[in-house]
Amino acid sequence: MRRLSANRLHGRVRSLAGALALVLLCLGAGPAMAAGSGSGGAASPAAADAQGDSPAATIKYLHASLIEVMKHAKQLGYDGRYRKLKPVIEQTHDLAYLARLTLGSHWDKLDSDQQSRFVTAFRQLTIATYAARFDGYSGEAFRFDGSRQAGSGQSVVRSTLVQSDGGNVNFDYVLHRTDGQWKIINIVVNGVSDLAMKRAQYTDLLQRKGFPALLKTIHKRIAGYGGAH
Amino acid sequence: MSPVALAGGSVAAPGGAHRRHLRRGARAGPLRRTAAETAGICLLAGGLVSLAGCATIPGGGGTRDPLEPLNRITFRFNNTLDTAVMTPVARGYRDVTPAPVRRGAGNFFSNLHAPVVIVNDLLQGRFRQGGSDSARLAVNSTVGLFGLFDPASGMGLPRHRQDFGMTLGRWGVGPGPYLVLPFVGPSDVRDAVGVGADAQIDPLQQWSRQPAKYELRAVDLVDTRARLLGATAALQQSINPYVFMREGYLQHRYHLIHGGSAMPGLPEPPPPPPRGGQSGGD
Repeated sequence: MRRLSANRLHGRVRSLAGALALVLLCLGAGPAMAAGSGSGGAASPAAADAQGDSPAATIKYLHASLIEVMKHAKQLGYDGRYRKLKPVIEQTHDLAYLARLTLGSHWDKLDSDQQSRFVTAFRQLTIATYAARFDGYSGEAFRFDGSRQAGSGQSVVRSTLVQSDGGNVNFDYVLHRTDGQWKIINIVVNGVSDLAMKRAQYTDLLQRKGFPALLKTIHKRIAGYGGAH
Repeated sequence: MSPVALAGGSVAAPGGAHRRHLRRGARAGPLRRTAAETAGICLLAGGLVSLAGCATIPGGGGTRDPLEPLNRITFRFNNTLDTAVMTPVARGYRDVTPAPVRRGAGNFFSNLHAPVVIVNDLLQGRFRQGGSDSARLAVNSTVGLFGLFDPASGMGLPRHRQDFGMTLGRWGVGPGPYLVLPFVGPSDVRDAVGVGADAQIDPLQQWSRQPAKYELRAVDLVDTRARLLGATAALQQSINPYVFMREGYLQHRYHLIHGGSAMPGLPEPPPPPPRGGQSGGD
C-alpha cells in the first residue's frame, strides 16, 4: 500500500482510468487482495469445507496467507515476503499449467528446454509480483461469496475485496483439480481476466521480439521487484 | 498492496472518461453549439454503428487494433509527457494536500459531472437509476455543500458510472478499433465519440465565461492523476505496457457495458494437451 492508501483508492471509480487502474492493479498476479479470509466466512455456505479439499479451501488458504504477510509486511521485507509466499503460491496456483496457457499456441513452438526455462521464469515472476505488491495492510478484507462448478472439471470461487472505505472489487477465481488439489488457473477481477491480460502481453512480445527477449524482459522485471529466491 | 496497476502510466490516466473533455479545451462554447457540430456528432455516431459491425470483441490485438503502429507512437508520446509533467505535478499536489481536501475535490468534481451520468441513465432507459442519481445530485449539492461532501452515498444513493460510450454500447454499438488518443489515453472509436457527446452536456465543459473554468479543470485533472499515481508502477512493471493498457481498457469497458467478463467461458480456452518436459522448479 505504499503509494495508494486506502482512502485514495477509495472506490472513486468514477473515472474510467481510475476504474481501469483499480481493476488492473488487482490483477497482474499481485492483486490488492487483502484477503480477510475470516470475514463473512461464518455465514458462507462453504464455510464447512474450509478445512478440506475444495476450491473454497484453496482460496481461503491463499487469502489467509496473504493477510498474514500483509500484516507483517514491513518486518518481513521483500525477501521475507517472497520466502513466505513461495510455498503458498505454488500450492494454490497451477503455475506450470498457467505458464502454458499464457503462451497459447506458441507453447508448442518452443523446445522442451525453452519451455522449462519459461515455466521457471514465469513461476518466479508470479511469486515476486505477489511479494512486491503485498507490502502493507490497511484494513482490507476478503468476503467469500460462494463457489460453483463451471464445467470441464473447473470451479469458480467468487469473492469480494472490501476496502476500508467500503469500496468493493470482485474477484472470481477459476480453479481446476490437479495432483489431488484444487489450484487456481485464472483470476477475473471486475470482469478483467488476468490470464487473458497475460496471454495478450506475452504472445505479443514473443511474436514481435522472440523468445530470448521475452525471457530477458521477465528476468528484468523479477530483478526490478527484488529478485527470486 | 500497491493497488492500482494500471492506467497511470500515461496521461491517459488523468483522463477519465469525463476528464477527456480537456482536450476539447477552449473551443467549447457556452451551452450553444453550432448546428454543424451537432450534425457532425450524429454522423460520426451513425458511422460508428456500421464500423462496430465488423469489430470482434474477443481475440488477439490484430483485429481490434488495426491502428497499432500509430497507437504505439501516441502511447509513447503520452507516457513521455506524463513522466515529464503530470506525474511530478500530481506528486506535488498529493504531498502538499491533506487527504480530506483531496477527497473533497474528488467529490466536488464528481458532483459537477453528475448531469452527464443522469442523462446517460435516461438514454439507457434506466429511469430508476436516473432518479437515484438526480436525488444524489440534489442532496450533495445542498447538504453536501456544493458537492464537497458526499452524504448521498450514506443515504442509499451510491455513485454510478455512466458515459455516452457506455450508452452506445448498451444500444448495441461495438467498440470499433482501439485508439490511443493524444493527451487522453486509451479509448476506442465508440468511446471517443462518447467523450465528445458527453462534453456537450458536461457543466464543467460548458461553463464558459467563467474565469474559474480553466482553473477548475486543471485541478480536476491533477486531482485525478494524483489518485492514479500508484497505478503507474504496475503499468511500468508489466512485461508489455502497451498491450497491458489496451487489453485492460477493452476488457474493462466490455465489463462495464455488458457486465460479466469478455471471456464468457470464464475458465478460458481449452487447455492444450499436457506435454512432458516442463520441470518448473526454481
